Amino acid sequence: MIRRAVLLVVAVACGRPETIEPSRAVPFGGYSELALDPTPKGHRRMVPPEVYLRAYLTWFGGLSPAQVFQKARGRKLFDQWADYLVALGLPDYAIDAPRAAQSNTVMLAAMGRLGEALCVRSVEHDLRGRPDKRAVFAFEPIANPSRDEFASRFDTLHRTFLSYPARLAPADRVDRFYALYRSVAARHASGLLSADESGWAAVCAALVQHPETGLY
Amino acid sequence: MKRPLALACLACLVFANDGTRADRTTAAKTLADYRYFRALSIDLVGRPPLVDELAAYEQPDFVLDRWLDKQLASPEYAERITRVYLDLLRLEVPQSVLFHTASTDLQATHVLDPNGRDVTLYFRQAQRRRNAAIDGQVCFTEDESGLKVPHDAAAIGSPKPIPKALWDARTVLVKPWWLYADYRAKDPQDRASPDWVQRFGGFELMQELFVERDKTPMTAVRVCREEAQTAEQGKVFVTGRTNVKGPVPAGRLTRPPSDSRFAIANSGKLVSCITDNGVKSSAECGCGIGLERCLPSGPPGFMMPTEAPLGVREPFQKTARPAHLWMRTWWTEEASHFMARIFEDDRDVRELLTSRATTVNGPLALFYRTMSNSRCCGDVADLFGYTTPEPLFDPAAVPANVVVQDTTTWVTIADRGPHAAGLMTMPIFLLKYGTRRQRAHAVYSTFLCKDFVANNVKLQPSQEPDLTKRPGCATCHTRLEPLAAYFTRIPEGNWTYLPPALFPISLDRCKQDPKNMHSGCKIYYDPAFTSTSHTVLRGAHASPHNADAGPQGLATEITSSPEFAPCVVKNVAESLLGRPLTAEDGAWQTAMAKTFVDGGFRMRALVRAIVTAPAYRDVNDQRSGR
Amino acid sequence: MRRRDALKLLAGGAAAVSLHPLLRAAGSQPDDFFIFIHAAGGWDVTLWSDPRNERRGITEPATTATLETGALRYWRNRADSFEPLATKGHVLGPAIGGLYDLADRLTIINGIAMNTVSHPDGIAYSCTGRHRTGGTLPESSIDVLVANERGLAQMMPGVSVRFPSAFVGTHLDRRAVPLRIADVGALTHSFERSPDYLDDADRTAITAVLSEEATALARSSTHPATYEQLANQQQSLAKLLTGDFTHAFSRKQLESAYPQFNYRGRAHGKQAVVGAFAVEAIRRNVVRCVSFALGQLDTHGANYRTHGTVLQELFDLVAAIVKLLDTTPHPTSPTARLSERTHILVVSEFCRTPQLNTNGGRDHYPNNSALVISPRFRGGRSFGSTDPDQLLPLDFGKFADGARPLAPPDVLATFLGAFGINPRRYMRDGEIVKALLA
Repeated sequence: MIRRAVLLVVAVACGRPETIEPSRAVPFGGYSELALDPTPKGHRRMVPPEVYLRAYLTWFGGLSPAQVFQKARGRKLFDQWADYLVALGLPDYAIDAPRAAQSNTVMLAAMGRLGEALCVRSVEHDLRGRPDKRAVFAFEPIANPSRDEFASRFDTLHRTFLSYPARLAPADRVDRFYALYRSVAARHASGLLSADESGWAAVCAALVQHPETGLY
Repeated sequence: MKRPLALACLACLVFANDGTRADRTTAAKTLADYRYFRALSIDLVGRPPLVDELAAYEQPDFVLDRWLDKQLASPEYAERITRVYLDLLRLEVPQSVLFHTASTDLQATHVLDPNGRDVTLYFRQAQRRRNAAIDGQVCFTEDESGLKVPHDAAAIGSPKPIPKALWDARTVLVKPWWLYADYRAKDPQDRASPDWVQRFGGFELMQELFVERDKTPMTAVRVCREEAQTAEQGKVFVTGRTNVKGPVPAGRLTRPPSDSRFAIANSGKLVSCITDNGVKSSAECGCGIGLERCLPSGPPGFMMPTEAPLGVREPFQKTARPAHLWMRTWWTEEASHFMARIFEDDRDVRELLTSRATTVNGPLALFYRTMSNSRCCGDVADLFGYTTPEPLFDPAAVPANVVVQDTTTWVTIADRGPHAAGLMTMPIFLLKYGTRRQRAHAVYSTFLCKDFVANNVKLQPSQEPDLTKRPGCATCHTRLEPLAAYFTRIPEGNWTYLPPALFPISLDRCKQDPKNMHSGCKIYYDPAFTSTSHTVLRGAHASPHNADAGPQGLATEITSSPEFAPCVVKNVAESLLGRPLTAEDGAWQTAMAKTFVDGGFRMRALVRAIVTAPAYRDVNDQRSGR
Repeated sequence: MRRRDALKLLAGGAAAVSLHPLLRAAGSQPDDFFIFIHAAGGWDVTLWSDPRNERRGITEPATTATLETGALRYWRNRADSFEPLATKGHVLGPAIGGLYDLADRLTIINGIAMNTVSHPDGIAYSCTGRHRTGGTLPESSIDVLVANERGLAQMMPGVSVRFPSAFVGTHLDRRAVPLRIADVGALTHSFERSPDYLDDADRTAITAVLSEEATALARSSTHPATYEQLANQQQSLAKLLTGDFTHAFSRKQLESAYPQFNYRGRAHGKQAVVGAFAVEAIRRNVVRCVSFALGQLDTHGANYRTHGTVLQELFDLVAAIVKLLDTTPHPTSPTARLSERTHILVVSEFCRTPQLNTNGGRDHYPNNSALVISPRFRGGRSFGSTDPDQLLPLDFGKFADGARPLAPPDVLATFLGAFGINPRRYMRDGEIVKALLA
C-alpha cells in the first residue's frame, strides 16, 4: 500500500502536468438565510389607565365623563365611574397606593364592562344614526357581510383600537373575528340589537379588550 | 462579486426586513412604524392615534420630526411628564388630614330668630367679643338662645326665639364670597347659579344645600356681628382675665379666653386680622369682606372632583364636601400646574426646586391672600416678637383681579417672595411631608434617586442626642440631618416661616438648664442640644448654615449635585421605556444626561432624545427569525 | 451566577436539607387560607403589644392628656397613665380591643429591628423582607409568595384590597398576581354585565377569541409571559362572570350576611366590609389569600389623640374575623372549622416614638411588632423584646449572622416555613425561628 502511494506520488511529480478545465459555478444548496435582528427586545408596556380613559372618552365621541355616564347607563350597562377607576390600575396619591404594574382579572373585568357599554352604545349611535356622526363604526353597515366585506369594515375598527391596519395583523386574525361576528349574529335574530349589530358589538368589545389595545 | 454589491448584500443580511423593521424611506409603513407612532401618540398625546391621524401618518409628506416638535410643545406632553413627578412625589393627602384653623373655620349652627324661624347662624369658635358672656363662643348665651354650641358639633338644648333687640345687635346679614362672585361690591348681585359651572369652570355649589329651612335659596348668610367685620387690622384688647381656673361659667361649654401674654404686652396696639394672633386677641378682627378670610364648615356643599385622573376639568366623579376639603383640592392642582408649566414652556427643570414663581387660580388666590397666614405665628411665637407673618408666599403677590370662583383660569405669579423655593414651599408638599426629615427625604429620593437604607445595622440604646453620631443611626443620619436642617425655619406640619432675626440659630435667653427649659423656648429650641451656655434652633444642630440657607439652599445643593441630571434621565426614561434602567443602559444614560445638561436642563430635548433612541423607537417583542 | 448568589443558594439548600424534617412535618394541607393585614402608617406598640406606662428614659407613656381614652375599653387609669393587661403569656396595652379575649391564640413578636423610618421602605421591609433598592422592590410580598405556592388552583389566588402587594420578577407564576382593588364594591361592579344586549354565550365566544389571540401573540414573542398571563386572566374572568359572584360579594349582601363587623366605626367603618369579604370568599373556597390595609395610624400631630381608638377598631375587626372563622365550617373539610386552617398575619411599617414630639404626636421609630394568629404558631406568647428606656430592639438569639434582634425577613421566613414553604426559594434574607412555631 505504501509502495503504491509512493509510486503514485512519484508518478504525479514526474509526470506531465495536467490542466484542470474551468467549470461553471454551481450554486450551493441546502442553506437558509439567517435574518439578524439587532433591534432591542423588551416587554410590552401596559397602556397607562389615564391614556385608556382618554381614549375611551374619545371613542365615545369626545364626550366628558359625566356625559358618558349619562349615555352609557341604562339597562345595567354602566354603574359609577368610581367603581372602575381603581380597578383600571390608577394610583391613589392620598394613600400612597402606586399604579398597577401588571394586569389582573379585575382590571380585565372593568375593561370588559366599559368595553361592552361603549360598543353597545356606539352600535346604537353609529349604525342607526347619521353617517357623519359615526365615532367608532365609521363605515356603511351591510347586512350579513361576506368575509371580504367584513374585512374592510374590520380594518376600520382595527385601526381605531389597535392603531394599525388589519393587513399587518397575524394572518388568521380577520378570520377569527369574522367567525366571532357570525356566531354572535346567529344567536341574535331578535332583540334590542339586530343580528348584525350584535355581531359588530361583539367584535368591538373583543377589540377594546384585545391585548394589543391594552399594551404598547 | 464586486465590493459595493457585496457590502449591500451584507447590509441586507444584517438589516433583513422581516416586516418588523421600520422602512422610513418609503410611504408604505411597516408594523413597526405603526407601533412606534402609536407609542409616541400614547406618550406625547395622551391617547392612541385617531384614525384620521393614522391616515395623515401614512401620507408620504408626513414628517415625523415636525410632528414631534408640535407634540413636545403641547399640554398633553407636559401632563405626561408631570405625571412622572406626581407618581414620585404623590402630592395628595387623605381626607383625614385637615386644614382646620381657629381663624378660618366658620361654624354653622341653627337658632330661632325673633319670629321663631329656624335660621342658620355662622360664627367663629375662636372669635373675640367684648361681652365676656359670649367671648370665644357663639354670640348668644344659653339663656338668650336656649342653646349651647360645642365646637364642630350640633347645638345642645332647647332653642327659643332670640329677642329682636339682641338679634339686631348681635347679628348681621352678609353676602359671602361663596354665594356671590361680586361679593366685594357694595351691593353684590351675582349670586351662585347653575351657570357658574360654565362661567367659572368648575365652581359648583350643591344648590339644594344653600337654602333656608323653608327651602328658599339663601341670598345672604346670618353671621355674628364680630365675624362680619372687615378691617385689615384690629386693636388688641385685654379683659383682665388671666389664667382663669374654676368651674366653667353657667351657660357656657368653655371658659372665656384669658388674656394672653401677647395681649397684655400689646394692649391697644394694632394687629393683623389675617393671623392667628389677630383673631385671638382683637375683637375687631372679623372674617373680612364677604367673609373671605373664612371657610364655612357647613353646609358641605362645595362640589369637588373626587375622581379626576384626567385633571379637575374632566372629573369622573364630583362629591359635595365642606369648604376646607374643597380648598385643599387646589393645593395639589397648584403643584401640578406648576410642574406642567415648566415642562410645557420648556423651562429649566431645576425650577421645580428653585423657582419663586407659581400659578394660581381663583380659590388659590383667595387662600394665599386671606388664609395662608392664619397659622401665624405659632405657639408662643409672640414671646419671640413674632406677630406679623413673614410668609412663604407674600399675599401682596396675588393679583387683585382674580375671580375667586374661577377655578380654570390660571395666572402666573412671577415671584411668591424671597422664601419661596419651587415645590418645597407649597402647602401640599409641606403637609404631605410634615416633618423636616420627610421633606428632605422626599427631595433627596425624587431628585437624586437615592434613599436612606441601613442594612443590618444594630441599634444600641444610647444617650447620644446627635443622630449623626449615634451608633447605628449615623449610617443614614450623617447625610439626612444636614439635609433636614434646610427646613429648620418651616415648623413641622406647618408652613409658617421663622425669620432669622427673631429666631436666630442660638438665642441667649433660651440658653437654660434643659431640665427646666421654658416651655416657649422648648417649642423652638431643642432641649437635647441646650445647656446654660448653648442652644440651637430645632433641626439646625447638624448644619446651622443649612438652616439659614433654607429650602433655597437645598434646591441649590440638589440641583448642583452630579446625580441630579442622571436622576432626571432615569426617572423620565424609565417611565417612557416602561422598565428600569440597568447597567447595560449606563452609557446611554450618560449620553442622555449630557444631552439634558447641554440643552440647558430642559426636558424637551431630553424627551426627544429618548423617544427617538433605538431603545424606545425600535424596541419590540417579536421573536427573532419570525 | 455570582459567587455570592451561588453560596447563598447552597446555604439555602443546605438549610433546607437540614430543616427538611421540619418543613416536611410542617407541610401544609392544600386547603389553608391566609389573611394578611397592613396596619398602615406605623402603629404605637406601647398601646398594645409592648406597653409602657411609666416615664423612663425617653419614654413618655400615653395619658388622658395625650390620648382619647373614653372609648378604650381596656383603659384603666394608673397614676398618670394606664394599667397594662397581664395575661398568661402576654402583657398587653389598652388598645388591644377584641383581641384581648383571644389572647391565648395570639403570637406577638416584639423588638423587630426595622433599620428604616421611611414609610415606603418600612412597608417594603415588613411585607417583603427586603429594603427598597433604588426606589424599586427587589422581592415579592408575602401574600404573593403564598398565593404562588398554595393558591394557583383557586379562582382568585390572591385578592389585595389596598395591601402593598408586590409581584416582582419572572420566576413566579403569573396567576399569583393579586387582584388589586380599592374596595369590595369595585370588585362586584366590574363583574356585572347587562343581560339585555350580549349574553353569556357571546362573552364566552369573545373570551375564546381573546385567549386565542393572546396565545398566538405569545407564540411569536420574545417575552411570552405577558400574553400568557392575559390568556389565563381571560379564562379566570370567564369563570367569574358566570357565577353568582356579583351578588354574593356586593357590599349590601356582605353587610347583611355579616353584621358582626362595625360598619359605622369612625376609623375603619367603611373598610370593615373587607373583613366580611375575606370570610365569605374563604368560606366559598374561591380565594387563597386576602390582604388588606387599614390606616389612619400615622399620627405625628394632635391626631395622636385618636391613635388608641383607631388601633382598637383595627383589633376589633381582626377579632371579629377570628370569631367568625371559629363558627364557619371549612369548605372542603366538613368536620373542621375555618379557624383551624386560616392564618392571619398583621404587620405595620414601623412603630412610633416612645417620646412625644412638640405637636403632641409621635413620630416614626425603627422598632416594630407583628401579630400572628395561626394554629401553626405558638399562641398565647410574646416573643422578642425591647430595652426599657428607649424601646429599641434587643438581641433575640443567635442567627447565622450572629446575635441580633428579630427582623421582618425572619418573621416572613418563619411564616412561610410554618406551611412547609422553603423561604429560600423566594427570600434572600431571614431565618425560620423555630421558637415561634407550635
